[in-house]
Amino acid sequence: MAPVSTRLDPEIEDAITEVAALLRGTYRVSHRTLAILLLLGDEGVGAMVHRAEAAHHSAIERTVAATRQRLGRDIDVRIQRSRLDAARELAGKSLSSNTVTGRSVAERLGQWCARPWTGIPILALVVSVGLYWFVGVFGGGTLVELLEVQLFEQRVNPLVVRWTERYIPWEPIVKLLVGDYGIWTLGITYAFALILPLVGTFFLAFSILEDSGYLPRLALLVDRGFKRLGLSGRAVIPIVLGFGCDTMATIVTRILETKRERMIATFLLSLAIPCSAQLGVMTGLFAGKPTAFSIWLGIMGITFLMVGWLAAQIVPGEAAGFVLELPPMRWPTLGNVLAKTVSRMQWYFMEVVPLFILASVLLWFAEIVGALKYAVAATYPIARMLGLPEQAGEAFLFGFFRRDYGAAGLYRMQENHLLTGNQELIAVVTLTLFLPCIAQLLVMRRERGTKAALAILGFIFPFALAVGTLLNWTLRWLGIQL
Amino acid sequence: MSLAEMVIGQTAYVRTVAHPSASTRHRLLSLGMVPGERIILEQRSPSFVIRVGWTRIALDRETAEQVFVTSEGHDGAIDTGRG
Repeated sequence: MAPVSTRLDPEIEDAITEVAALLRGTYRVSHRTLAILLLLGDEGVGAMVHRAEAAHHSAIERTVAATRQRLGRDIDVRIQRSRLDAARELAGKSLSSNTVTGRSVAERLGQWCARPWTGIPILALVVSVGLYWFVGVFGGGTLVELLEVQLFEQRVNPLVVRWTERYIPWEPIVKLLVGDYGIWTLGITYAFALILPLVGTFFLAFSILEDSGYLPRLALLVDRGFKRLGLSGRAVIPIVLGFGCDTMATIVTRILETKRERMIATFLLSLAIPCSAQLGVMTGLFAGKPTAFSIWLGIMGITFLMVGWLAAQIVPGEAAGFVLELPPMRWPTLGNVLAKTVSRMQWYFMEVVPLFILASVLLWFAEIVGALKYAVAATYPIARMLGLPEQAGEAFLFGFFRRDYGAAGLYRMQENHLLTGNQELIAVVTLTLFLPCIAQLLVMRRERGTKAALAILGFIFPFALAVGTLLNWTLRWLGIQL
Repeated sequence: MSLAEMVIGQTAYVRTVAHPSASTRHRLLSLGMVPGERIILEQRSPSFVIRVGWTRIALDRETAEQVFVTSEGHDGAIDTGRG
């Protein structure tokens, strides 16, 4: 279809022509569009033009300011009115509508999702079926068992190890490929056997929710509560996404309107939102232990609310407003859902697999030169402080490379009966709060800057240890044995 | 009166969008909250939900208080006068 260009009223058209004529640079959009955005006072476009028109940006800015003054404050209303009329005319020519009596099922469902009395039970249903059952139990349990244990550990890995040992005579290279921290045995196995089913099921569930029109209604529902944390309802989208992958969620904080909101959301994501990889392993750790699981959930919930509230008091900037379009509730189309899931997973693997391999190489190198011993030994005091066996320190160290490496390390310790119930809880709580994984840290630095990333780390590190230590003392003091 | 004073099911016409934040004002305008447009209030709590044309918009109380409406339509007339 040919693009439709809206003719605005003559006075505004003259102003647009005047501004557009001054633009010299090459942009990805037309000079006319840029001129309209400049006249509307769009700050982002203003900054872009300022950079691109180095020599004469001041002439452009003077003209824009003078024109805006001449046309008066309601220039945006006039432009919008012309667009709306044009859209209505076009719709009138090409659309027909049936008069529907009463409300449709979709409309009713949409209302139920947006009202507290019905919306909160629906949210509980979505979390328990979508997140817990589909991602946690099916993705993290059934699929991981199938891929990690039955396919990789029992069939693929023994073959790869045998061949590598047979054809590569040099011991360090064998170690690099199939050793304890090998590219294949650790990096690739984790990426495809553990992360793929978890992230895949999560992205599938998320795409279904996204296409159904549920997420904006959830945003509306939580807006008032989120305001206390310095966030708006919109932030529910990156926060929910964080349960899949905190790294991706950190990038998605771009949809938030104010700098302050983006900062608080990034901070909370790195502190209190466990990603699907962690959740999967933790579901396994806490299987059949509802008390420990409830305490963990309680601590995470309280941390999220308290630290969020504190951040809202401390982080400067204006409070976020909330305006969101509510699309109609729709039955998602399978094709669209699959296409989105696949493209998200492609993105995820492009980002993550290289980091897995890098983590393997770094660990291998550290082991070869003997630095790993010292790094691990440096974590022992931390483990002791938390009342944990020394090996748990190792899990924390690996947790930095991937948070789930850490959780998986704990899982292995549990399998070998090295942890008591209390120690398990303390370790999981500390690890959930602990440093984000290396991918998230890099993205955090890119999105929020080095200073902010360091400030966030500077808070999280001592905070996680303090909560873990406090939990250890409290359990001991109350004489609780889990 | 402001949008926040409307009752559920009430119909009114947008008079001015007086929000101090330029980006919020632009967002409201581009969603169709242009002076003269007819809106219907559907929900007040926990957030306000209104329908304008075929679009449904959710907004918080603070924003609703900055949108002024009148009970009579004035067919596309632009009013930038008193809020």
